Amino acid sequence: MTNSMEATGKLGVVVTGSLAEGIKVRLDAGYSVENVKVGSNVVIQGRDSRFFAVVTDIALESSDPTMQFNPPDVSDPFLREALAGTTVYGAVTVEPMLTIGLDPYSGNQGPLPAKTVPSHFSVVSEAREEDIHSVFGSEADGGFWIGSPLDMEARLCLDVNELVKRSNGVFGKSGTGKTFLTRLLLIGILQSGRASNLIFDMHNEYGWQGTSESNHSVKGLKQLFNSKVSVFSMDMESAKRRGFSPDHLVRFGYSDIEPEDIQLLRETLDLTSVSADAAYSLEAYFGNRTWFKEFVLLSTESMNELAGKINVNGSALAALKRRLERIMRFDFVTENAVEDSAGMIIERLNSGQHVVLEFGKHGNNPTAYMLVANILTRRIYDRYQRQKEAAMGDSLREPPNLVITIEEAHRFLSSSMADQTIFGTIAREMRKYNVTLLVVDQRPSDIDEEVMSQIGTKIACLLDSGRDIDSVLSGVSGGRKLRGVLARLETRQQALVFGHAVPMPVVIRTREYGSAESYAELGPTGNSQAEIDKDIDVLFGPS
Amino acid sequence: MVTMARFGEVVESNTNEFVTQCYELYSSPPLGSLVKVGESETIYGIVSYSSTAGLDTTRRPVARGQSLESEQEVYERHPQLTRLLNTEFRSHIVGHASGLEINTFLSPIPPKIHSFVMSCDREEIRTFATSLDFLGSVLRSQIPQADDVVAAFVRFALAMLPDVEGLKLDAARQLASLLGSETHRLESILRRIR
Repeated sequence: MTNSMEATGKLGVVVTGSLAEGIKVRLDAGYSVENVKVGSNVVIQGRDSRFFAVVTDIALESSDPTMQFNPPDVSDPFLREALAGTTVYGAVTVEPMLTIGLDPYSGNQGPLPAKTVPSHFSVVSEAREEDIHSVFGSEADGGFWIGSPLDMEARLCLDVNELVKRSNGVFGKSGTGKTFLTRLLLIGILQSGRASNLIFDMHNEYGWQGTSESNHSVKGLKQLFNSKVSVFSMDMESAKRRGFSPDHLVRFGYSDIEPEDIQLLRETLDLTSVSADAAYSLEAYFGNRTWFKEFVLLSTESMNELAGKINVNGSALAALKRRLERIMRFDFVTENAVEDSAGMIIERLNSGQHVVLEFGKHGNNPTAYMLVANILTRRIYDRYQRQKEAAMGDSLREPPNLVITIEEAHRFLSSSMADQTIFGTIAREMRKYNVTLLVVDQRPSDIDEEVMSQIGTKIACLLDSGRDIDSVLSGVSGGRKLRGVLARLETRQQALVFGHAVPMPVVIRTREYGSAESYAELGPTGNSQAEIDKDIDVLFGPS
Repeated sequence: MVTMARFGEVVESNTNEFVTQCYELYSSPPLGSLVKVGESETIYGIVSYSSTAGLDTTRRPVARGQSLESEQEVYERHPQLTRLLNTEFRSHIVGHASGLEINTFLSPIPPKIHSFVMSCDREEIRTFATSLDFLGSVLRSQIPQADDVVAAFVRFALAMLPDVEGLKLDAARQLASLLGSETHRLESILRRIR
């Protein structure tokens, strides 16, 4: 009985509800309740404004309360049809998110957060492509097409300008498409030219090429953007096996390792807090940049002597030494670094390039991943902080925006770590120094609450655990009602997006990635407006 | 076009209903039929009850056919019966016409005694069949077997308007709306329409 009602897109009318609990819509008799999906978008035509709303609940209702105890004989199709939509009907609860004024003045202001509800019997319809564009903007306005709303073909865009201003997060269970979404976001940032990317590519998915869930290989950033992207690798063998040669091999010297890194690695190295803290005493004793080398090369006797001198328990110091030897065994850590890999990465980033750091075989080793990410990020952050302070508000001399992508983010940003690691600092201080994070994680509940609250735009794929859902939705208005939406996402290609880069929470079907057409659209777009503006500023001074 | 038939004359009337005496014995329209009354001011009703009895209420008919072959023969042997017996039917008022417009609600004044009672044309039946709100008053009335009267009207409309698409389902839906909290009553009415 899908009839003209569904063709016109009219769902039904507002019958009751409140701003706190959501608006209840009685479905028209011709609109099948099975065609409404939680998380889809609807438009409510109020008397003075149009409301943009999201379906948060769907219910079966009846005007006869006794019917549920003594149901009629529905084997008769005529009776069933007569009852459907009259005595028994579908009702959906929708959450009004935005209002668009109908008078010309408020129409120019664009969508505003809904502070009231539509009046009784306002007509509710499915959102159309124009509605999506009027709310989320379009590619013509500089948005980045990330996917489509549920059951629609309209292109839903993210505001990349807003995206790069704050730290962002991509969350979801393993295998729900986090990597695909992250790759799309990175491409969006690359195309816009609004920021440089530094990607700690744990599983070699972003740089040269990655694999889809169905095991097809898909192009990485280097294949799409070539000269704009530099791939640094920590494992030449792995890169060669995958058939490409990275731009640079990353090596670190002992001098690059600082006590703060040891703090971060406390859990993965299984160190007690006394042992980990001893690194600070060692640094104070041997001096900055030389402590690691001096310490790991000490003989057992001199170490006992040293324990007395710096007043640290001997066995704690011995434990620290044994664990640091594990770090020494990494082939990317050498006694004397031949070249300054961190400096080179920073240089590329400063010149507007994007850097992917592939971990190769080290991606499976959390110690290696965390150590490298921490060393690099700390140095980048120091450099940016200095540059930013030196610029003193002179926008020309300011370092370009930088987005650092980290996977397995809870390892860096757990409650016990967030205060100590550089990532915690970046997440909290945000854009002050033009450095933000793109956090990719499958256990958001393990990430420090304060850090989570600072994340600007969250993109959540399917999450099962109640704790993870709570943590992702904390601080979102109407979060309770979005729980159902989040828990019912499909396992692949669907995500709930909310935060600064979108005017309201929305469920998307991620855009297709991996076909020739998608590559054609996702490649470089020529000089972006931001780059042109920047070049003009450099040539002629700021206007 | 339905040929207009005259059934009889009003012999009793109030604002809710009117009683028609038929010109001929056993010529009452079927239960649930839509009839109209009056020449200048038309009032519409649904046949809700019909009866046949002796004109003189003090004299009951007596059995006459013990030695006869068929019922038909009883009337042939006693032609006075068609004059002594009398068929009447009661109509529940459901609407009236003011000017060209038909309103599906009660008329402000009842039909006059001796007004002619006639069948309705197709358009009139269609007007009532597509706007069944008035059945609410029938369902709520004190008429015995009101549910049967309602079902009979819908059957009558379906028979008179075989070409109107979706009439049966629309009627069923309107009844469902009227009987929102009485699903089993609705079910039994719909079973009679099916």
